[in-house]
Amino acid sequence: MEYLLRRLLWTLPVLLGVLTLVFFLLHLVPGDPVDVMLGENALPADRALMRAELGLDRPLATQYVDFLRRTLSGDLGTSFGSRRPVTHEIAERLPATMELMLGAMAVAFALAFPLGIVAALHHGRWPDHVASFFALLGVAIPNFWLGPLLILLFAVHLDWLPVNERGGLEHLVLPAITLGTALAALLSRMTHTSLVEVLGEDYIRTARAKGVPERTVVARHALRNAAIPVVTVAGLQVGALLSGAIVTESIFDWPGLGSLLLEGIYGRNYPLVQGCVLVIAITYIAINLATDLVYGWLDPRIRQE
Amino acid sequence: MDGYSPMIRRLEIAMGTTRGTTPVMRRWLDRRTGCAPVLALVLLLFLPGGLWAASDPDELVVMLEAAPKTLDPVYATDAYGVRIAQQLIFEPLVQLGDDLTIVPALAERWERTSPTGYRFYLARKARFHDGSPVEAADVVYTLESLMDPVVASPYGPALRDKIAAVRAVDAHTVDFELKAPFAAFLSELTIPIRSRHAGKDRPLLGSGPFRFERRSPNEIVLVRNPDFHRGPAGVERIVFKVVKDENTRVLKLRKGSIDLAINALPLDKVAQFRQGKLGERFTVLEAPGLSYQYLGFNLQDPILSNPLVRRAIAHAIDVDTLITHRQKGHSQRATGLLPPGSPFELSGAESPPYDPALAASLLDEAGYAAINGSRFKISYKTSTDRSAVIQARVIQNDLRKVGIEMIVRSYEWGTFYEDIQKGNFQLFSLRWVGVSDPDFYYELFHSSRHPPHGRNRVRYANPRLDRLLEEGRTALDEGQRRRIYYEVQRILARDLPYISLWHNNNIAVVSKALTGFRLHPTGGFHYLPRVRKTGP
Amino acid sequence: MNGRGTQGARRLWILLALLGLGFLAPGLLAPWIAPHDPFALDLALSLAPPSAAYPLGHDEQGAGIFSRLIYGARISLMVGLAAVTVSAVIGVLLGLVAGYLGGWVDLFLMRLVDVFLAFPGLLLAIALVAVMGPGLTNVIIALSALGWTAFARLARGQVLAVRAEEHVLAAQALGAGAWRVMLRHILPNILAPLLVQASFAIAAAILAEATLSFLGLGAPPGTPSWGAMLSDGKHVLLEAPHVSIPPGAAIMGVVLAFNMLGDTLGDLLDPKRKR
Repeated sequence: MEYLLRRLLWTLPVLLGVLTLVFFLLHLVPGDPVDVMLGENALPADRALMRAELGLDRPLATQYVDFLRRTLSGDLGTSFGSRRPVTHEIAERLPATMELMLGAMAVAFALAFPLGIVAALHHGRWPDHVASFFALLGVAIPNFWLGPLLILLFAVHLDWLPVNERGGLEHLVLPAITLGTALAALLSRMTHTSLVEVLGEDYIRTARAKGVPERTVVARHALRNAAIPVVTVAGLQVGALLSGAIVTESIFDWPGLGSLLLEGIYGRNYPLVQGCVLVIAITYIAINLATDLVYGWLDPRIRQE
Repeated sequence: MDGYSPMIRRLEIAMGTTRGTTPVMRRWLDRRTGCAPVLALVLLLFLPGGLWAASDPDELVVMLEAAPKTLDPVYATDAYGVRIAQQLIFEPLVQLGDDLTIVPALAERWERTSPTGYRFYLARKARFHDGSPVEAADVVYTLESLMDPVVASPYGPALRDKIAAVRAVDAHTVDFELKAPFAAFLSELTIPIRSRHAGKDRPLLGSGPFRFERRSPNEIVLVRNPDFHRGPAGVERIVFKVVKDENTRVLKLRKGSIDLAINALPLDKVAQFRQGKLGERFTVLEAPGLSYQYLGFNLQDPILSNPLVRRAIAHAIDVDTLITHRQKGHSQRATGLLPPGSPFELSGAESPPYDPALAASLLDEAGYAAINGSRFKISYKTSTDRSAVIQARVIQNDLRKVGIEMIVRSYEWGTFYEDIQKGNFQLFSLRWVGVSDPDFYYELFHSSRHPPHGRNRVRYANPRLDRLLEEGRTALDEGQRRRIYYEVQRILARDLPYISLWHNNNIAVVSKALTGFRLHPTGGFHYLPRVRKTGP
Repeated sequence: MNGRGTQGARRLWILLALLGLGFLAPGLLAPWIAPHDPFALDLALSLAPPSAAYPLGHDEQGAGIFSRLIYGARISLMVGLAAVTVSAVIGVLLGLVAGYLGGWVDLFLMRLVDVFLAFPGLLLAIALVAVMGPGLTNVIIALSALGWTAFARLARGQVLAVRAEEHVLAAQALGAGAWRVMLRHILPNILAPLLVQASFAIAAAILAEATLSFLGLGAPPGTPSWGAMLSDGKHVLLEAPHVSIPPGAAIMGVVLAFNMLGDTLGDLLDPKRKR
């Protein structure tokens, strides 16, 4: 309990740091949101008026303090471009990103477990080498190349799947593979390593010695224990997955948080970018925390550390 | 196939498409406890190919390159936002016609009552979507709110600059009083008229042929306004689909879920829709448009302020090759800002022809002799847009041949734009769109219009041109205006603050299922209300 | 044990030879071995297929893909090595300080690491490049701003592990200053895992440079960066796949090689580690 509280307490300064970083980064980037919004036929007086309306005429320090105060009270402000609350814009896009990430996770696990298991059971022999090579390949292939290649093959030449656009499940397949491949590769390596380790443990030897069939040994005993670190790593990779989502969303026209974030940056939409970054950071921290806790709960040794 | 559709819809709801804001995860998990996994499998095995090919005869699907930021006509500035608001949801007083003259819209007719006075007579049958009549008071309300500094509309400054007062004479007559005679005034009145009763809660309450139904990040849906005063539109619904990636736009058109794409394809991908199987499904319409691509010089730059250098650069760039290979022939070589066929266009004008040898000798004459093949270094700024970057590289290659070392720098749009505004550049290339009235020259080249006061980005200053542009604004006699703008064009062709590159054609790829579609010179949506759809 | 060691050493040499001959040498010798000027373009040859003189054909602007690919090795390796060097120096120094001094310094630095980790990395890179303007130097700085955290964490962890070892305690007892202890006595002992990490980091940095160039925010236009070539090729993927396949394969190859190098180094330098 105390551990949990301490961890929770530590997220506050980290969030504060993230907010500070995004605020100053954005305000330093050249390009004036008022210019982007008003276009060039606006008169200086109108610019000044708009700047005042958006609160951009105040000293940076005042804006910063105000930004922190409002954010902490849960107000993410109004999007410059659409003049709608940032929370609405994010709420509109968040489901798409979550769908994409869940899809990618599903792809990752669906590929990682079989590959990892085959490699572990044939450790040191050719299936291991093949599986390991695929795992390395998966990490090395740039997702912005994989995506278009998948579109070319499955949507154009074979015509099995739609080109893009969020929709039914068949729309999710290609983006999910694009985003999930690198994670699949990483997790298959983890599964492999972890399973090899577990298979060497005493209780597995005992089970084997007692004449438990190999299939049961692997499925019942070994895999369950080997899965713990794999799931943990999957949780820790959420941050990387979110970064990958920005690229994947731009390739597939996926209306998620990543594309919203890019639009926000290009439009100098300060509140929108700040809101997106906050949501992403909170997601990242929460999932890390959850992973930590689950891991600690599964393996009490961690807590002592 | 039909038997699957209820299931599809359910699965789509489960995936969170139909209602974008519901947390997808919970619904997804709910479904999983039911039959979703089986369904998903069935879908995966049988459905690819079926879902998106369905075409609804009541529904016109139009492709957009980008989502409009807002459709609210007070704030909309991007092309799609303006078009959807001005031509479909709302109606302006007057509209730009096919022949670039001003034609009636909400105003059935108008007259000039004095050099600074205009009177408009509104269509009596016009109604807003809530049934209330469109009256003079609404026109007054629209103009006054746009001009209100507190509203901070991007259209406010230009209107405040020109309009002294707007008055309702009776319910269907409205008077405008200008601060000074302004020849191009009517072309400024393509502003959507809003209902004075709509208030802040109903910003999209218009009087146009379509009502706003809903929008999501990648889709905008409009439905027909059955009571439109000039007769109801030909289709029940227009669905605008936003497809940002240009390759994807081509693929989606090929796959057949889109009925119409106006200026939405990369130029090298247009030809395929004219031939073979695609040619049987689509018609490609192409006509000269109102856009003008140019190369701008910073006239305050020590090297580029020399007209010899500008002329040399103009002779060094092989514009025709660019048009053939980059524009794939879908553009007309431009000699000036005005679109071909404009009554104000100076006939017989020519752009400096491609002549690297002449360019080299001009540079020698200007005092920039080549040392080791290099005369001087110059930088060219562009956005990260792919075509713009390639164009920059081709120009770089051309200039290298005459000894000018041009460095291309591409900036993300916001940064690029700020640099241009602030005069922090040497060379750049951009495009003006929707140029119809020659008064635009005032905005671009009058010395009072240096940014941030206007769009004289190149910082041109010439007292003689200033005087001509001022005269052109207030000259109400057509012949006199023409003479003035001919002279303006002669001066600019000599001074070369811009190098004219080309006018882009408007290109529409139209499904053969559509009838009644025509290209408007702006590439806009003016003819969508007349479109009918026959079968899939 | 022994057999494994020699096998690992052999793999290491093979990988180094591969990297050297396949990527480093072409990159270094590009001006001499590239058959054509990678910057020359000829619109008439746009998307021309491979020929004897141009083994990989032409891109959309009519430049030779093969020559651009060779020059691309230069950019990828330079950016990768430079970004990792900078991030390693910063990261290791901060990690050493955090681990050695502990207390509030440690707490502060590690929360700083957390902040950077919770921040969307690509966004940070885009913003930094936007602030500083495009160009390879700025890409390197942006990638370093992303990369230092991993080194800081690793160095700190390693310091905690060796801090209590005898030679460190002995040095402290002899009155050596903090910097001296850190740089002379601790750093040499943690070099092995840092080398492994650096190898993986180079792979990641090369991929990140390609991503930025792909988004049009990396090298200046016309630079034969593999990411930019891939981005060019994506737009003509349907009619001319030959434009994007070589740079894609090159990125994959070099990333794969550095990852395998990291693996092999890990095996060799840490006998306890099982792959």
